[in-house]
Amino acid sequence: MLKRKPGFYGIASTIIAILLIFPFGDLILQLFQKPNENWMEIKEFLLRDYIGNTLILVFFTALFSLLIGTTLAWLISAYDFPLRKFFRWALILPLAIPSYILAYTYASMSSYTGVVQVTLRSWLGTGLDQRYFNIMSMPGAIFILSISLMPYIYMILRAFMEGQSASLIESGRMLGKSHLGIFFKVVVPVSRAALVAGTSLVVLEVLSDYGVASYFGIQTFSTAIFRSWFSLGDIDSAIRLAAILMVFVLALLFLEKILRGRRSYSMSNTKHRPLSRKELKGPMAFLATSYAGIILLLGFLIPVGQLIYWAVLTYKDTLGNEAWILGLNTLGIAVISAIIILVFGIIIANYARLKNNLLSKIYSKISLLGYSIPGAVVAITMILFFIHLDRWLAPLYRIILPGAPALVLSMSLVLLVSAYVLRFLAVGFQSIDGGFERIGRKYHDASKMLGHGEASTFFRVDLPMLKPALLSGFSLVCIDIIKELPLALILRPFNFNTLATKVFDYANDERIPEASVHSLLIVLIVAIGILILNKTLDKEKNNEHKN
Amino acid sequence: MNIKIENLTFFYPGNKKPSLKDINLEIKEGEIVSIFGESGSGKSTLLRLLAGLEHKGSGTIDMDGVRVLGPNSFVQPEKRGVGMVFQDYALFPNMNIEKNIAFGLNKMSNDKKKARVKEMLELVNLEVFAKKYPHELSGGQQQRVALARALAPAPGCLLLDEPFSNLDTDLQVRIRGELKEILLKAKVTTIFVTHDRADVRALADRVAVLCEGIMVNLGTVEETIDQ
Ligand SMILES: Nc1ncnc2c1ncn2[C@@H]1O[C@H](COP(=O)(O)OP(=O)(O)O)[C@@H](O)[C@H]1O
Ligand SMILES: [Mg+2]
Repeated sequence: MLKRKPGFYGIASTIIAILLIFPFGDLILQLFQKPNENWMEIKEFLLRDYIGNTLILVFFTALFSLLIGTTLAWLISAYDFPLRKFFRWALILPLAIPSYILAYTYASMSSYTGVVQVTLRSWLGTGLDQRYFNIMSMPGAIFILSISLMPYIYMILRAFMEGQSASLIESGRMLGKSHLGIFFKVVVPVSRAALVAGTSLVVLEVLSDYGVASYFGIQTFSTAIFRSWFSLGDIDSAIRLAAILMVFVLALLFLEKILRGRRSYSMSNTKHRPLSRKELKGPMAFLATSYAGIILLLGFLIPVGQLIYWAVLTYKDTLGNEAWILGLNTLGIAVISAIIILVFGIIIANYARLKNNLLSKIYSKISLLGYSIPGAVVAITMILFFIHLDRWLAPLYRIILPGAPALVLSMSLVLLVSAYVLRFLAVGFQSIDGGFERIGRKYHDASKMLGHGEASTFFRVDLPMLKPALLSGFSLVCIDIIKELPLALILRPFNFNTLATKVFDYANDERIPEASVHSLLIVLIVAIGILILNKTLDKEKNNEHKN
Repeated sequence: MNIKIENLTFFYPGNKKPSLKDINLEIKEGEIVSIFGESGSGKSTLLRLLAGLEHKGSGTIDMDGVRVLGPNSFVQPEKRGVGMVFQDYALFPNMNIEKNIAFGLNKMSNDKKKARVKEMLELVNLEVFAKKYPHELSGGQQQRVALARALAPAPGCLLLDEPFSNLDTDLQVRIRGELKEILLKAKVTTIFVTHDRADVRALADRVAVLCEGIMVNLGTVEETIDQ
């Protein structure tokens, strides 16, 4: 037998990695073209605003979600107070509302005819002055994004605090430090890696946001890229903006690496015991419950309540066949993309586990790449690439599809699904990679020693043990895709709608109440997904306890 | 199984120092050979190379005249007819004891498989645990399951990596005796790794002593470690 037979995983991983980076070739080539006049204008007059707005939005959103997420995670894991158990999972729920839906809902609620102004007028005889209290502004956008992204930090930190930091916190307690002292002197430094991971997730989401900024009229990189391209038809400038945005992203990733330090953050630490909580009494307990309650009200209960109210008013017109078809479209796209992502993720993660060489490490990094690339950039990249691909395949189309239009793939769902795979592969990959890490190599080796080849070992040994990781990867990817707006908006085929694009259309027509049924469908599907996910993760953790 | 190792040298990727250097060792059918040495001396690495779980070594390994490792040849672990008991047993947690033992018998008919599993369970005295899962068994019992699982496909050679290191001291003494009996019954060529002289005395026909990847001594128990 030949000594170095290239294995299935090596070849397949190489192909996937090439597919993932190939599309960026076009984008980079375009950068070396001579800039046009429009770009000169953007550079001279607008670029400063784009950079400034983006930085302000990113900085304050990160700051506030960090503040809220950290304090909530600490409160939930270190103290006992009324309704703590309920808040523990309920505080994840704001994640079920896409930030653009939160934005539309709050904007509509605080408009002149919205519930806030009407109530205030009837109570006080006067509403809030729109000049001072206008949610459709930078502070409003920061509020919306912070509230809706805060759960990322809350979840990562809570898992961390309930897990590995218990012994550290307890030793801090033994040394007679106060609770607050422990928080700042022990918890924050120890959980630095988790904090940085959560924060960079939030920052990437903000950079990717299109829905909130465009509705509130804030010029960020994402909105500028879309505007250059679709309103002004200036692809060249859109590409240049995308490139600058990528420079920011790379700087962020570099910063993250430095801040994280050498310790990489991992949730799957072996043995841990829950932190013993301190019971809060009297006013402190009231304060804790109120704080958690207010965040939950603002981030979930109020907007959902408003959506339900609108839905009751409008469902007769909006909850028809069409809504169900859109729901199926959305789910279908999510499931197809998620399956492809899981297959790709398994191949690359397994190659990394079995080979653990430089090449496999590069492939792992490549599959993580997409998540750091803002939706607007992914959109441009994929369109350019697919138009190119279609031109290139044109002779083939003439043979097998005579009479077809010039653009076949770029007009089909293949484009959107490919973009989703590129952008969300990281989410699935990370779950699977974590799963493989937990399993390790020994069962694989044992199976081979018992006469099973690579394929049989995978299906009989690895796959059954990987099931929880696959399940959580699948749910996470589906959740992300169902909530996703900009890619769906731009890359969908003509006449193809998802729940998210429909909501966007309604909002653009200033018919936000009519969007409520579709919005609620998204919230409902995503909330169910999140709760299932939360359960599986908790169960997995308990199992680890037993072993 | 007759095994012949010649000039075997092995580096882990990224290491400057070889984990094994120029190993030469011949093992005869039915022999029980111990690889003895301190932690980090390369014992597990040698076993993994014999098993086929590592393949970047230079030098050669022949098994019953077949070149399983060499400049232009490599036989995959699943094709070598070698059984292995891992240090932490690696019993599949999602399969019960019966299924674990039957795992290496997938080419047999169902009836034959059943009979073989029963035979193995009797050999290691665990008939009543057939339907239990690995985590429901004690360490010593798990170890015997791992042994039964490795022996079930009737391998030409059995590799054991520190077979007693995860057991309490009392248990170690008892299981050593049991293991010897089982190995003699199964008549299988055995290579076992240990850092404990008592293991060697109780079980080995011959000993290879490793030190920092180099084989510094080879011979009977009296000729080597008893000196
Ligand atoms: N996966 C690995 N990667 C790099 N070096 C390793 C790896 N496994 C073992 N080594 C090194 O190889 C040497 C021999 O290790 P090993 O064979 O496990 O020794 P033993 O089993 O005798 O304790 C040690 O120096 C160890 O650090
Ligand atoms: Mg060892």
